[in-house]
Order: sequence, then C-alpha cells, then structure tokens
Amino acid sequence: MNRSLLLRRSLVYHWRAHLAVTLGVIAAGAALTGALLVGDSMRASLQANALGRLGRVDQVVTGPRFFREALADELNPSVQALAPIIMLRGGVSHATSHARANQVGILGVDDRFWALHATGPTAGEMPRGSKAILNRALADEIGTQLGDAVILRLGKPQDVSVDTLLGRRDQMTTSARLTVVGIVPAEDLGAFELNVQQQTPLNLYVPLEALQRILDQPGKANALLVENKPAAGPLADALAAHVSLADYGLTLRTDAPQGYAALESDAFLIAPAFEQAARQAADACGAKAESILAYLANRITAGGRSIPYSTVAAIPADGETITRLRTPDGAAVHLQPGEILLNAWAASDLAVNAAARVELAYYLSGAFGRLDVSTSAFTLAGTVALTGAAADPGFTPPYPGVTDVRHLADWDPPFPVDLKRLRDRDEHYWDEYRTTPKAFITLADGEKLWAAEHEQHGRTTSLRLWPQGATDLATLSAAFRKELMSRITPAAAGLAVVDVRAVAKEAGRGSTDFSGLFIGFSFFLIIAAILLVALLFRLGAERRAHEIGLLLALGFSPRRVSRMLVAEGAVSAGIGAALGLLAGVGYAKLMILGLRTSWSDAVHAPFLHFAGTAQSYVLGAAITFCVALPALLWGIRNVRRQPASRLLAGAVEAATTRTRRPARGAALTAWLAFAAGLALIAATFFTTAVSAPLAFFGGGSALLVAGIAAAATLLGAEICGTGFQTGLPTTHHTRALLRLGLRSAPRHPGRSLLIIALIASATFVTTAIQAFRMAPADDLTAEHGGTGGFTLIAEAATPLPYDLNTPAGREDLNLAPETRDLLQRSTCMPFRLRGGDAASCLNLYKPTEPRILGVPCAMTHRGGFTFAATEAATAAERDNPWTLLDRDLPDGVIPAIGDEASVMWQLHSGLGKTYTVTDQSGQPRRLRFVALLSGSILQGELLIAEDRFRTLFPAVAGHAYFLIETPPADADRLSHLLETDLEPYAFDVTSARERLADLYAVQNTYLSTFQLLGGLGALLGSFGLIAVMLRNVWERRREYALMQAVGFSQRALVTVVLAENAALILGGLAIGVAAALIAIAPRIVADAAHVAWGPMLLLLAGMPLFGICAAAAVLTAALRAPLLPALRRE
Amino acid sequence: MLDARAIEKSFATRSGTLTVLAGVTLQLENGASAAIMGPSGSGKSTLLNILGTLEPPTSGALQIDGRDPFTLDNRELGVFRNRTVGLVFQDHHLLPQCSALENVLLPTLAGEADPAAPRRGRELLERVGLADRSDHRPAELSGGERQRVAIARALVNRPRLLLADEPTGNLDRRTADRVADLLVELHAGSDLILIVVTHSETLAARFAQRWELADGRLERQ
Repeated sequence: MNRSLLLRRSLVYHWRAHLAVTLGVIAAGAALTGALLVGDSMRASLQANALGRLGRVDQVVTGPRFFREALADELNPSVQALAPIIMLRGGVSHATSHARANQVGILGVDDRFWALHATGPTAGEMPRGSKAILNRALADEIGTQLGDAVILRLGKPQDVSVDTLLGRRDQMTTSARLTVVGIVPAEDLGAFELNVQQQTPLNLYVPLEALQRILDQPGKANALLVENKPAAGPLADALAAHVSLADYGLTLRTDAPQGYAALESDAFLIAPAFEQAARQAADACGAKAESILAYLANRITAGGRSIPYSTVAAIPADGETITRLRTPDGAAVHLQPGEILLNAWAASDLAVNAAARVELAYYLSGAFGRLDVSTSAFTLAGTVALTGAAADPGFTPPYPGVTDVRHLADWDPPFPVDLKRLRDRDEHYWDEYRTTPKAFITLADGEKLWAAEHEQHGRTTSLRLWPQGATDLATLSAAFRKELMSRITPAAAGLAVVDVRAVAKEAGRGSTDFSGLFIGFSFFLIIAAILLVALLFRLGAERRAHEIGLLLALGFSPRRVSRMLVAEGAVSAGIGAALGLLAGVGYAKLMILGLRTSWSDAVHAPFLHFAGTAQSYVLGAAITFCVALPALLWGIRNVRRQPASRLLAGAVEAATTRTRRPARGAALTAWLAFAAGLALIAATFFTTAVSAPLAFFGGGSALLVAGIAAAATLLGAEICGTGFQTGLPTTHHTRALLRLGLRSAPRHPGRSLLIIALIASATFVTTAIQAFRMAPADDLTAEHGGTGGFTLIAEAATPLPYDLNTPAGREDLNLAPETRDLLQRSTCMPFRLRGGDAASCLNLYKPTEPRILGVPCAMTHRGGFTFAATEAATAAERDNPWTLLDRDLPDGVIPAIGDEASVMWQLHSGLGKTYTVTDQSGQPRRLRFVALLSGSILQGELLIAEDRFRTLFPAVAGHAYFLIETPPADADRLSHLLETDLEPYAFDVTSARERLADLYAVQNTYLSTFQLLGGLGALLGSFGLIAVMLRNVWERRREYALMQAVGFSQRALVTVVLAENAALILGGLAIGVAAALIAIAPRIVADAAHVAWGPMLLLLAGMPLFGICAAAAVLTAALRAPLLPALRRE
Repeated sequence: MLDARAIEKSFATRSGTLTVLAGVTLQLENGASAAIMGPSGSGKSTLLNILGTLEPPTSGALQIDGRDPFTLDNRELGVFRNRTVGLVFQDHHLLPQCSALENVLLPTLAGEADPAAPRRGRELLERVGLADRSDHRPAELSGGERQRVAIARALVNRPRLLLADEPTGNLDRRTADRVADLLVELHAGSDLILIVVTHSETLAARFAQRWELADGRLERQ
C-alpha cells in the first residue's frame, strides 16, 4: 500500500465523479482551445487568401503616376522576374445585356504577368488587340461568356490635375469595346488584388499594349510586379539606380541659343518637392536657378484695345532672365511688383506708352472645374524688344493641344476659347513666335495671382538653370541631372516599393485578434464549464466527507488530504485537458462552419478553413489545466475547512450558527463593488478617459460582484437569524409552504450562492448582449442618425470633375433631363477619396492604408450623424462636431473623424489618439481623432477636411464619394438614373439604409455568436444547477420522506422545494438584469432608438419562466422517487 | 497517561450558548481501560473527539503522555494523532476502494514510509481473525468483520490511546460480543489506554472503569 496505489484506487472507485469532472474540463478545454484554433484558422485562411492572390509576386512598385514600361527591362537583371502592368479601377458592362459591374480591377498585362502565376495552368498566351480575359467572378457578375463583347469604362490618367486650369476635365474617362477571349478562375493571379479584402475581386485583364493605347499612355505602366531573386539586393536601391527623370514626369530641356537649361514637368506645374530638390541640385552644381510661371491671359487690355489669348510670363524681378531682356533701344529693363513689361509686338498692338495702365484678364479655376474670369491691373514698366531672351517660346512648357498645334485656331485647351476674337495678326504672331510671352510680370505677382489657390500642385512651370563661370550648358545639364536624381527618392516621388507579401501576411493577422475575440465569445461558456468543474468536484468531495474526515482523524494533515484530493482531480483535469484538444478541434470546425454559413454576414469569407498551430494546442491544454486546478482547489475548499469530527458526522457545510463577520465582509464587498461599478459607468457621461468597453465590462462586472455579495450578505443574515425570516403563517397554506422553502435556501449557502452567481452571470451576458443588438432607425431622413439623413451612397471609380448640385455641373456631366430634375430636389455631398483598405467591420483584414475622405465645407456646415464621443470644447463644436475638422492642431497633426467601431476595433485607436497615414509623397502624417461617429454609414472611412486632404493627396482630383440626400420616394429612380448616366465614371449607388443594415448585420451576427455561446454556457451552468438541486434533494430525502409521512402531498413537497430554488433563480435574475441595465445605461441614453427593446423584454420575461419551469420539471421528477425507504433507514 | 482536567465544551446556537461538557476531568494510567456511558446528547462523542484531539475543548487541559496536543499546530497535531491515538468509529469508515489490508495500512501513509508496516498490518489482521480476508474489499465483509478491520487499523501505528465510539452500536448482539472480546483481548497485557463510549451496559461491564456522563459532568460508577 502506498499513496499512488491509494490514488489509483480512489480514481477507479469514484470514477463517476471523476468522469463528470473530466467532462466539465473537456467542455472548458474545447471552448478555450477551440477559440484559439478559430483564431489560427482565421489567420491562416486570411493569409492564404491574401497571398494566394499574389501568385509569385513579392514586391510591387506602384504609385499615382505612370512611368516607362522600359524600366522593367532595365531592372530585370536585378530581380528574378518582373512584369510591368497597368492597374486601375473601372466599370465593365456586357455589350448586349448591359449588365454592369463597377469597381472592377482593370489590369493591363502581358505574358510577363502570367509568368508570375504560382500554380496550375496560366491563362496561356496573352492575346493582342482589343481582347479581354475576365476572371470567373466578373464573368458571373455580368453574365459573360467567351466571344461576348464587353464595354470597358475607366478614368484616363491625367498628367495635369483637373483641379488646375489646364486639367483635362473633358477627357477624364475613356471606353473601349473588347471581346472576351478567356475566363480564368478567380484564384491565384486570376484574383490579383493589392488591397487586401476577403471579397473576391472582379478582374478584367486587357493586353498591356491595348490598354496603353486606350489610355493614351504608350510605353507606360503604373505598376511593376516583382518576384525576388534570392541573391538580389534591395529593390528600392535597384529602382533608384535605374529610374530616370522621365519616370517622374520631368524633362530637362537645354536651350543652347538662349544659354539655359529648363526643368519642366508633364504636370505643367513642377511639384513643390521636385522644385525644392531641383534648387538644391542647382546649388550643388553652382548654377543659378530661376523659377518661371507661365500663364494664359484671356485678354491684355490697355487704352480700350486688347489682345486675346496671350502667354504672360512671371519672372523673378532680380533673376537672370530679366537681365537678358532689352528695350527696343537695347537698354536693360527693370520690373517691380505691380508693373508689367510688354513685348514690342504687344505694345505696338495696344499702342501704349510707359506708365500706361495695362489690365490682364485670365481664368482662375475654382471648385468642380468652375472657371472664373479675374482681372488685374498693372503699370506698364516698359517695352522689351522681341529678340533674344524675350523671343523665346520656351517660357511655356509643352502642353498637348496647345503648344503643339500649327495654328492658333487649332487650339484645344480644356477651357472655353472664343476663336472669333482671334485676329489675323494673332495668327501671324503664333506662326512666328508660338507661345512666346507678350508680357512679363514679377514672379511674386504671378504666384499671388495664379498659384496661390493650388500651391500644393506647384508654383513654377519651369525652373531655369543658368551656368555660372566657365561651366558649359552640357556639363551643367549632366551634373544637374545627376544631382537631382540623387535628391529625389522614388518613394518620395510616389514610386513606392511595397513588399506586398509582407503586407498580405500582416493584414492576414486580421484587424481583430480572433483568438481573443472567440475566447471573449466563449468566455461565459468557459467560466460556466470551470464553475461546473468546481461544483462537480465539490459535490464529489462532499460525498466523500466521511473518507476525508477519516483521513484527518488518522493523522493525515489537512494539506496532505487536500493534495491527495487535488491529485485525483488533477488526473481527471489532465485527461480532460487532453481530450479537450480533440473536442476543441470539433468546436473550432463548428465555429468555422458557422462563420461560413449561418454567421456569414459577419465575415463574408467563404474561404475560411480549419488550421491549427502546435502553439494553440499546447497553450489550450496548458491553460485549461491551469484554470481547472484552482477550480479543484475551490471545490475542496469547504471540506478542507471542516474539522474531522464534523466530516466524520457527514457534515459538509460550516456549522449552522455563524458569526456575523463573514456577512459583514460580504456587505462591505457589496457596497464597495457597487460604488466602483456605478462610478465607472457614470464616468462615461462626463469624461472620455473611461472607454465604453471598460465601463461596460468593468462596471458591469463590479455590479455583478456587488449583487452576488449582497446575496451572500442576505444568506449570511438568514443563517444568523437576522434576515427576513418570520414565523410560518398558519392561516395561509401556500404561503406557509413557500416560507418553508425559503428557509431552506441558506442551508447550503455556498451552493445557493453558486446558483445565484451562475444565473446572474448568464442573465447579465444575455441581457447586455441583447441591448447591443442594433436595428436601423425607421426615419432615414433624420440628420442625427446612422445615415446622417442621407438616402444614397455613391462611389465612382473615376472621380467626377463637376458638381452634381449645380445646373452647370449637371450639364457638363451630360445628365439626362429626368436625372437633372431629380437632382434638383436633392443634395449631393461630394467627398474626395483616397482609396485604400476599408477599415469597416466588413473587412476582416487589418487595414494598412485605410480609405480617407476629404470632407467638403458644405458637409462641415451641414453637420448630422450621431457622435459617440467628441473633443468638442465650445457650444458651437458640441452643436456641430464636424467643425472640429477645422481645428488647428500643433505639430501638423490633422483633425480626423471616424466611426467609433472602425476606430476602436479596426484601427485600434480612440478619441484623442493619433493614427498615422502615408501621404502621396510617402511621408507619414499624423491624424488625431477629434470625434467618433456612432453606428454610421461612414464606418470604414477616415474623414479629414477637404483642404487638408488636398495638401496630403494633391494627385487626387475630383470627387469620387457622394452622400445623396433625396426624398426616399425618389431614391430608387435616382439611383438607377445616376448609374446609367454616369456609367463612364463607373458610378455605383447603394441605399444608405441597406449599407447601414449590412454594417449592423455584422455587429448583430457577432452578438448572435456571443449570445449563442453564452447560451451554451448557460446550458452548461444549468447542468450544474440540476446537479445541485438533485444533490440537495438526495441529501434531504429523509426530510422529505418525513414530510411525506406526515401527510404532505407530492405537489406540496414540490412547492416547498421549488420555492427554495425559485428564490435563488429569481434572485440571480434580478441581480443579472439590474447589473446589465445599469451597465448599458450609457448606450441606451446615447442611442435608445437603435436598441431592439421588443426582443430584450421577451428575453427578460422568458428567462425566469424557463428557469422555474425547468427547476419544477427536475424537482418533480426527483421527488417522484419513493422517499419512505429513506425514512425507514433513519 | 491520559490526563484531562476541567474540560469544557460549549457551542453558540441561535438561542444562546449550549454547554455540552462542563468541566470534565478524567485521568487514566497506561494500561487502563474505561467505558463512558450516558444518555444521547450527553456529549460522549464530543468528549471522545476532544480526547482523540479531533476538536479542541473550549477550556480545560488535556495531556497525553505529558504532552498537550492542542498546543501543536495542525500538521504537528496530525502527526501526534497518527502516532498516539487510535480511533474506532461506530460507522467503521473503511475506504470502499481499498482492501482490508490496505485499510489497515491507511494510517501508515500519513507519515514517512515504514517498511515494516505491511508485515504489522498482516499480523493485526491475523490477530483480529481476518488473515484470510486481507484482500477483500469492505463491501465483501460483514459488519463485524468491517469493525474488526477498523480496530486493526486503529492499532497499526501502535497508539498510546485507543478510543472507540460505540464500536458495537451497529452490530447484532453476537457480533457485538465478538468485537468486545477482541477489544478486551487486544488491550490485555498492553500499556494501551482504552476508552470505549457506549450505550451498552454489557459492553461497559467488560472494562475496568465505568464512567457516566450526565449534565456535562463525568462521574465514576
């Protein structure tokens, strides 16, 4: 005989009790390991999905500009494989059925792209000409088959921003008819997509050369796909070594006769970053740099005469150029701000003399391409001879449609030109001097007049470099080119090298820790299982009270006895933890099945599959075991405290007479916990320092503890005889029976408290979850709601350059009369959009570069939507928190608004916290959340003021995102008309209510998951309750037998026992409901309209009814067994 | 030697303090045997629990072989009881999962391993007439046999004090006589102090001293 033999014997003899404990541990282990495995599966599935769409592509060079396709050939020796592609978004429709898909990935590719296919057969040889290959998702979407024709509509890349005068607003879109020659599965490169998202992308593949032709970008691409060579150096270095000025849209032109070199941009204006680098490069070369700003004057007027359409050059008053200008007499000229120089031709035409008043009229571009004619008056400082430096058309950089046309009458500028005003002498001037300026003003004046509004695009049309000393022009050009290239990094120029594989892996981790999420969802299930383990072990230990008493009586120390019991429990727990792994696999597979089917609204990820890591298995088993051990210790706590003599007598609870000290301790705990919980929850009304989850979980838990402690106090008071007990009424039979039952409740205070705690916890969880379920409010026109009063949401693949709110804009967009009529009754709020990853709960991936919207002033003034929290400090800001976007924050931080759910769960940030985004030039820019929206259709978007947006993303021109406020009756018709009329822009309109319902569906589905698992926990808890009830009945069977013997009917007996258990159930329910209602008070106060009250009240009424009925059924069955034999044994 | 002086034991109840033992004094030399009798609720079992160090008195002093066990901490008290006191209960309290021999050896597991214990256990089973039943489980033994196993268990650590609480209370008369014979036989010639609490006049008559516990006081008959 030794202790291990005794352990084995006890395990075998008490196998039923140990089996029950093992099953409880299995349940806890299954929930815990299962949650970890769900997290593994989500991560693995998301990563596999994101990586699978990349083929063998490791890195991508991409940016907002097009660059030379030849760059790929130059880089090829440095990398394994490389494919230049064009990657855009557009709309595709079936040529016959007109079925349409917007937000389609348009990919201009050649065989080099398909060579990067990772597995299986590729699409074969890429066809040439007007052909297209569709992926299966797109083919299904628009019902296309091989041989069908599709119409491709997409935005045309613009060198010159449409926000500026020379932007081609009239040529923003293009279309092409293509024949479908292939349909590839939507997997591998057939689902190529850089923005990580779980939705299968709709892709259309066009031959690269065909798309270059369609876009009028011959020999150019906007992305390079790269497969790494193992020994290759950093791609960024290779790129920096091979990239040229042309790839940045820059040209260095030398004008030997004039003796200067000029840096010019395809964008017409030189971007500030390039200009700064060029000035530094010029300094390094010892050259004198000089900015020139050329502009078009609609009219130069003086003394009642005018000259139409003339170039005016703004030059530095102290620069090199002005020193080279000469009067007709050969004298030097001078120019001061407010003065103008006319060339001899213009001076003659206007017949003006020095000091005359000369007026310039010119276009200024406003919002939405609006052109305003503005005028400025100058004093004529003199006349310059139209020779030498003044006879230079190079003041104006090339501009297609203007500088390259033979005749002035052939001009095709992007603004209205009145050709009737042109005279023969103007044509002659054009024939001889082309764009040679007819007037010169100071650079300071030019910048003030023409560049101030769009300075983010640049203030210079060309940067002239004048060699100094003995340096010749060719040497200067070569040196300057080298210096300039060393100062512009591809990343700063918008050619970013993105390690897409790393990004996909990182994004695949998910925006949410799914292991944590499902542990949270399963939390109550785990707790219930652990409580069940503790309860079963306790009941088992109590059954062995004699045995424990004997061991103590024989001299075993209490610690040794405890160790022996825990060792037995540990064996059961160990087996349970191991078997829990298997059950966990099943649990995880069920969860994944649920997420792919019933709960698909939450994740939209049909590609989810089971995957587990060794770490999760080990962790799951270890945590389960470690959590079970304290439960076992708690389980024997009661018997361990009893003296041997009491245990030998079969007593398992403390003596029936207690001191009041424990009750006082419980009362103190109750008050302290109540105060702490209330303070936490109340704090959310007054400060943002306490987050909503902290207030709910922290405050709710504290209140729950307070309620349970109060129950303990009451039970303690009952035992002390100071509670509500009174004598049994003799006149009212039923009431007497109920009182009799109530008196039994404190007999096993530990068990009674456990029942109350379980019921209270289950009630708290289910009630609180129910309160968080959301339903879109009925009144969609309410400005302060989830839709903000907007009926429709629209998004265009190609930004609209005109205003939908004005008749002129609607005309420019060529809208149908009915559309114009409906828009007349509507308001469209246009936002600028920087595309990126949706940071909404619809996207499981971790957003790396979230979408950003530029909020127009009109929206800021209008206001609307409900705010969960703001940093509003003034009454005006509190009245309209949108105005917070205009705040000036220190250190260049930009105020931003986001939806609370996105900010909290997707971006893991919060009110008052900063979040870093990358601007167009690759620089990190800090946003600070000054307000958080509550349950809005803007979930997934980061919102900043439009003027700040334009600074961050100057290349984003036009508006691509719209909130449309229209009468609900017009919504469907307007939606259809806009999609039809604006098809060239791939305009996609959705109902705001549907969008809100989709977003709410995600939250509600997660809550359903939580509620279901919480319900499973409650079910598990109810097994514990049944075990306790049966145990109580068994222990008191002699008592009940006596009652039966003295004439109690079975019904009366059930009434007595039920009264005891119903008191506990109702007590638990009351505590749970009260704690939940107080904990969710902030949510109810903030958003009562969205609380689904009906189901919640149903739940509150149903739970006690169900609990009492279940208890009645169990007790009736238990008491039906013959009791009198128990009495005879007595 | 057992020396209990002015032992008092009282319990707090809802209706006030209930005094069960009101100054019990009992001194027994080594080798003495005594029977304690009294009506139900007179505190016999409480007194036995105190003498067996299972619970402390409210006041008074207890010394066994010159040591006051209630000055020891829990662990030391356990060791003391294991080495000094043997207990026999009315309900024998055998572990159902263990054989007769294993039950006898159970007290030896509380302390350091004793290689001689198995042999001693078998000898004791032989002395109580159950040598051939050593591998039997309690469920396979009769009531008298179970009580004999319990007696053997009480003696396995060679205690100084053997306390038996109604050892024959659950047995028929014939079996009770046998168990009584056994107790007397085992005690005879040893310096073991034997105290038996019983209702049975017959059993009490088998011991040298007889005491009556009434109204919380112990009187020698």
